Amino acid sequence: MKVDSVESYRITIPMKPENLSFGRVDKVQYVIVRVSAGNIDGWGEAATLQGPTWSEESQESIQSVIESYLSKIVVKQDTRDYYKILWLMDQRVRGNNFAKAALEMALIDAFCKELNIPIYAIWGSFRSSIPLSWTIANNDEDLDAEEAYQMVKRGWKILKVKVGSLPVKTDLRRIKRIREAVGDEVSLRVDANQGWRYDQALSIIHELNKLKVDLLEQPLPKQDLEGMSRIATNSEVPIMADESVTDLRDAVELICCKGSSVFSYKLTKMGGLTKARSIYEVAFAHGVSSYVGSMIETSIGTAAYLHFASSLPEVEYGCELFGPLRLHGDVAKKPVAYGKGEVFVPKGEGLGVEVDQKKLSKFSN
Amino acid sequence: MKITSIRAIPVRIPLSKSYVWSHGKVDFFTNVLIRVECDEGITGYGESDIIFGVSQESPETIVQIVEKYIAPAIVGKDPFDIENILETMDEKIRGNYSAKSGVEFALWDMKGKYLKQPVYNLLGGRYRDRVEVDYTIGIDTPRTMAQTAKRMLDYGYKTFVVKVGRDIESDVERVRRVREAVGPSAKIRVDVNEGYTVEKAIKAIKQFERYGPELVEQPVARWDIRGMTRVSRVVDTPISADESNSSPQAAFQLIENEAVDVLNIKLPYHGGIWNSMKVASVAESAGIPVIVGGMNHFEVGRQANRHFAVSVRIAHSGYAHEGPGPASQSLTDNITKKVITYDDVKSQGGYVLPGDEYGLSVELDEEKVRLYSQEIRT
Repeated sequence: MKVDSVESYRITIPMKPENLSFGRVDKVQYVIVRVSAGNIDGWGEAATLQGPTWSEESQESIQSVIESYLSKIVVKQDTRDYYKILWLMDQRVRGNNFAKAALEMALIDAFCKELNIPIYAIWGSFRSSIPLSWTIANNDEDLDAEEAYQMVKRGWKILKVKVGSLPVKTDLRRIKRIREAVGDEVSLRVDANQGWRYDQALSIIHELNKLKVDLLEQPLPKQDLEGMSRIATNSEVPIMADESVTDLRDAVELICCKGSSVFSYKLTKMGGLTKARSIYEVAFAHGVSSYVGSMIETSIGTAAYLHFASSLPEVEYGCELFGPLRLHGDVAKKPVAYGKGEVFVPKGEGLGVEVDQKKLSKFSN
Repeated sequence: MKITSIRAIPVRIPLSKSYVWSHGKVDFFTNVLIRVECDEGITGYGESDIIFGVSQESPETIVQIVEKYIAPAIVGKDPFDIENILETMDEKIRGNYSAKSGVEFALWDMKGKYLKQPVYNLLGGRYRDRVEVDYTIGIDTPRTMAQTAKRMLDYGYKTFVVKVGRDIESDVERVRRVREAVGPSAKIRVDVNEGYTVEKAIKAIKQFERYGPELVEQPVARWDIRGMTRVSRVVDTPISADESNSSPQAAFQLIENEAVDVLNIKLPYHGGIWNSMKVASVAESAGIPVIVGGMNHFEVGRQANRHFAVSVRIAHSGYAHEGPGPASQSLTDNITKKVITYDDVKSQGGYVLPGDEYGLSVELDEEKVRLYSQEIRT
């Protein structure tokens, strides 16, 4: 079907706060995209953590790039040609992956609705639910330990601790307290969001190993592949790349320098489902394991990530697609469904979740 | 002293003739004028510059980043604390270096005005009192490009940048015709702007070498550092990096991988003057000459380039510069009262002088700013 129009909406939803290496986040700002093609609406979403804090893109930049540049490329194209549309977007607009990903999500949603298939059916499904990690980010050892204990009691088996804004020793103390609170069976990961220097990461890595931490995510600034490689070589704890891997070229560089043995997949930073899938194929062929990350999406974005995760041959480290559980609100008519420590892949056509227009206007900013 | 407000005003000025290069064709330049106010009643001016086709930033994103994110983060700070302000901007806002650089330029302008000194005196003073400039010839028929070169030779230019990036045969013809037009003593630089693959670059450069290019710039895609290394090993001509040199870290990586012989620094890629001084130090420590590259600047951005270029020793290694020169291409107007022109280059024998008034030495032409300023929905 030919795309008739592209519309974008800015919304903000408050959430249970997270203290990250770059600051405290207590709300998520989204651009929701609607692609209308004939009688079909396709929906997409790009989430940002209160401005250009995680990547260089912000809610404002995403919307203006879509409205001033990308929508012109998409309108009148056939949704079936979404791969060609991606190529055209790359020809005319540098970078701006979040904006492109939101549009691609909407195009693929519309395309799959036309074919009456769920998005995962493009590649086929390997699983109907994904193991789920919860993020502990209070920057307070008592609160952190208590929350970790409560979540494990409720059935969560994976926890991720956010570090990097406090002194390394204080962060280490928090991790120790959490490990003591939950016992050795729980999978514990640590995410520094680029917050450490090489010497800081090196000083803590053996302690993390003793605490049976089973992943250290993005310890160093994203460009410092050599540092990542030196840490990865010296570390028993596997290193996961997140900010460092946003496109296929990053992936190839990381693989060549052995900078990480696990990739965190996020549809927005990678510019959409198609490109994330390409990165996965290359990583899989080189023995790099997978984890599906999140920017705290609503049920709309979460659904897209779930279709992607469902179709991967292996997702060794599970996912953190807890957005709808952490947010104080959603824009879907019926949100994504959760079980104990797992999240279910939606089954309907396209994304398998519908946008509720009333909720969209309720959260608009 | 405290910063009290920061405004971003997009300005669009037409060209009289389309400018064509490997990334496309433009008919106007759009940059964002930055106006910073402080509690001492001094206004600092800066310019956030972009290049359509190269930059990930656009006028729309710059306006929003400056007004919604940079302003709240640094209003209230002392404009003298540039290193601290740069860190604050980087902590709160990833990337967006053009947006940041315009603000940084304005802080230097403000500092200079407060101290009653031109900016170059705040950067260690002038290493030389003037800067040699080059002239860039956009992609056209070889004949037209040769005519342009010949015409500009009369203005005292001694270095010509020949833009290429089409098929090898016509690109070689472009270089040949320009060489013929300017004679053996002028310097010719070939700028591919990422237009070739590695194999094509090697093949083309071997043929350019018949016409004695001084260097070849950015022959392959910005991300292809290993490809640049290969090209620079295989050909005799020095290779310089422009699009690849997009951050201080990238500069280090290019040098470490022996991918470049010369480094082109564009101030907006690195977030302004201060970070570019750091990049220049990295280059200097590796013995790599620096070129101060130009974007589609108006006069405020060009003055920033001039103050930077006269102060940086490694920028005086015998290579001419584009950034400090007069407005490039056929820009029809500008935003300041005084503008350096081709006639000024002529009277200086191929050089330009930085303004010696306070700050960046720019006096804004408010009427022109109003005339060309653009509404951008935010």
